[in-house]
Amino acid sequence: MEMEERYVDKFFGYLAEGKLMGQKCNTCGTYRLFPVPVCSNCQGTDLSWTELTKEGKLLFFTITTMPPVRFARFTPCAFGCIELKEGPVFWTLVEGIDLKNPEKEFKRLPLNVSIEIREMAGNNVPVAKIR
Amino acid sequence: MPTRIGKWKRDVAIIGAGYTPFGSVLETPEIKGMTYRELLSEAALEALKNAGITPKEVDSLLVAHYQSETVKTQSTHAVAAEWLGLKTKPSVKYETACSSGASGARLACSLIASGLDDIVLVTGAEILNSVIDEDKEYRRQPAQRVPIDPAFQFDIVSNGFDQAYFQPIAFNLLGGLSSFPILAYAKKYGLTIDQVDDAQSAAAISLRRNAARNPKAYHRKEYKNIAKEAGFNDVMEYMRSSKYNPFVSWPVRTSHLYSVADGGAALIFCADEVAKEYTNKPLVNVEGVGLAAGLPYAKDPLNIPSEQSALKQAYTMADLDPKEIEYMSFHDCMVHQHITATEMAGYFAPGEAWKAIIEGRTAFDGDKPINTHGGCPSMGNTYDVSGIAEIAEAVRQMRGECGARQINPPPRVSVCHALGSGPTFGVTVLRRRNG
Repeated sequence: MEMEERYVDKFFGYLAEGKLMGQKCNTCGTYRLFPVPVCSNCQGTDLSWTELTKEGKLLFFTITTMPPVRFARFTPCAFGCIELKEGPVFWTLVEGIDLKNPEKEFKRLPLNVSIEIREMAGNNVPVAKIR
Repeated sequence: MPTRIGKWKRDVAIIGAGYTPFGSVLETPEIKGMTYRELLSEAALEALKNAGITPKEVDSLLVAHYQSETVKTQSTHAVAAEWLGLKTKPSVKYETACSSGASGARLACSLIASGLDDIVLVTGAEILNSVIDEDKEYRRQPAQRVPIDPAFQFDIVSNGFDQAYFQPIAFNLLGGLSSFPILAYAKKYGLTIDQVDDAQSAAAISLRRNAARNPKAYHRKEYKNIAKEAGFNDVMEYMRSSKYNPFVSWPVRTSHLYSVADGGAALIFCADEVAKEYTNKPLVNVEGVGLAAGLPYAKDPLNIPSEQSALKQAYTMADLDPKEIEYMSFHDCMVHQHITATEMAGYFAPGEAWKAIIEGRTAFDGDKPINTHGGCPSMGNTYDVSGIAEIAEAVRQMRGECGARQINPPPRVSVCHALGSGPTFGVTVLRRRNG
């Protein structure tokens, strides 16, 4: 089995173009956001790149004040657990949460979000915005 | 393909266990001025003494080491071999971060069960609170250490997670690992934020009560006394105070998290069939070990596949009914694990843990004890070394060697659950077969 892909370069390259590209496993049908050579669900190696819709749900969020140094300028901020429409789950910055009333916002969960690509600490990353 | 779950081909016991005082080598009197190799040697020699053996009897050495950034040494197994007189015997450095107790147990038991070795020493040390001052002469000895910036320390911890896909996007690993599970728990059982906040604080109070009875713990002053000094008659009012105990990752407060520490720990693993040649103490057998790692993304933070797999591996291997568990340890760098992971592990029935903790049942003198040494918030978190120390504490509890914090009667079955960077989940099932 040869590894022809340069997964990381390709993934961040797509993000720079504004595209949220993930993978679909052609064996079990599982979608994933972060491309790798082997499916975590079935260990199959027949995976295809696929563009994911930039829509999903905010499942949980926290308000962070203590990030690694290079993210300090983004805090305090809401940071959440996102489920994309196709199923992949990931964590990222969330925009549109009232940081002064987290309990009130918590009671509204899950909330619909759209994904936008932002430059953060030198990378293009997908962040979530409350719709 | 399902994970294969086998069994040892010969039984293995832990016959020796020990750890150094935890704290800071810059200021904690018991370990002040100690170097990496001195912490490691002290822990290893204590465990050997506890087992009633000398380095002569050790067949091989496994050295856990995670944070080379602050020790400035990579091949630490060679340092350990030299300091422990084991330079003609096999030695290997390994790590699975804070779950290095479980992975060390899996490796050591495999070496013994295969027949390759009879006795394996698993040990490690970390100096996390300070860094060698490279502005001064680098090779000057003893090395000049300066306090580490907590923000830099947190940056180093973040190196334990995938730097390509995880860290640039999921930059707040602390928030994800500490807040999402407790929020999921609140949602699942219809609890208010105040209720899960109090439950986490109660866990921190319980750990500090335990630590107050452990002379090797980093933080030993009980919260009730700290609260009184700050003018609070009710300790819970102190714990709810945003001035003294602020949220750092809502709804997780400072006291709900770990305190970074320096220290060493060690375990002596021995083939069950030869153990009686060395010790008359009750044998604590390693009956099950589970390990699994990978990014923690899950729709339900209370059902992370790698954590479930580690539990299943260990329990199946040990034929364990969770009702048998009499002591649990957690690598509780986030105390929510006392609430969330205890239920996953079957130590509490679903939805019961938060209340049991508020009622004080998880202290050393409660009916469901957890982390009698003080856990990551009070004993201190030495990462991989804590993982080894958590198993060491369980072994010593099971043999009735814990003095003022001894569980009565000593537990017969213990489960050590560890969450390390990666994240890596490790579960170890221990059973006392005699005595």
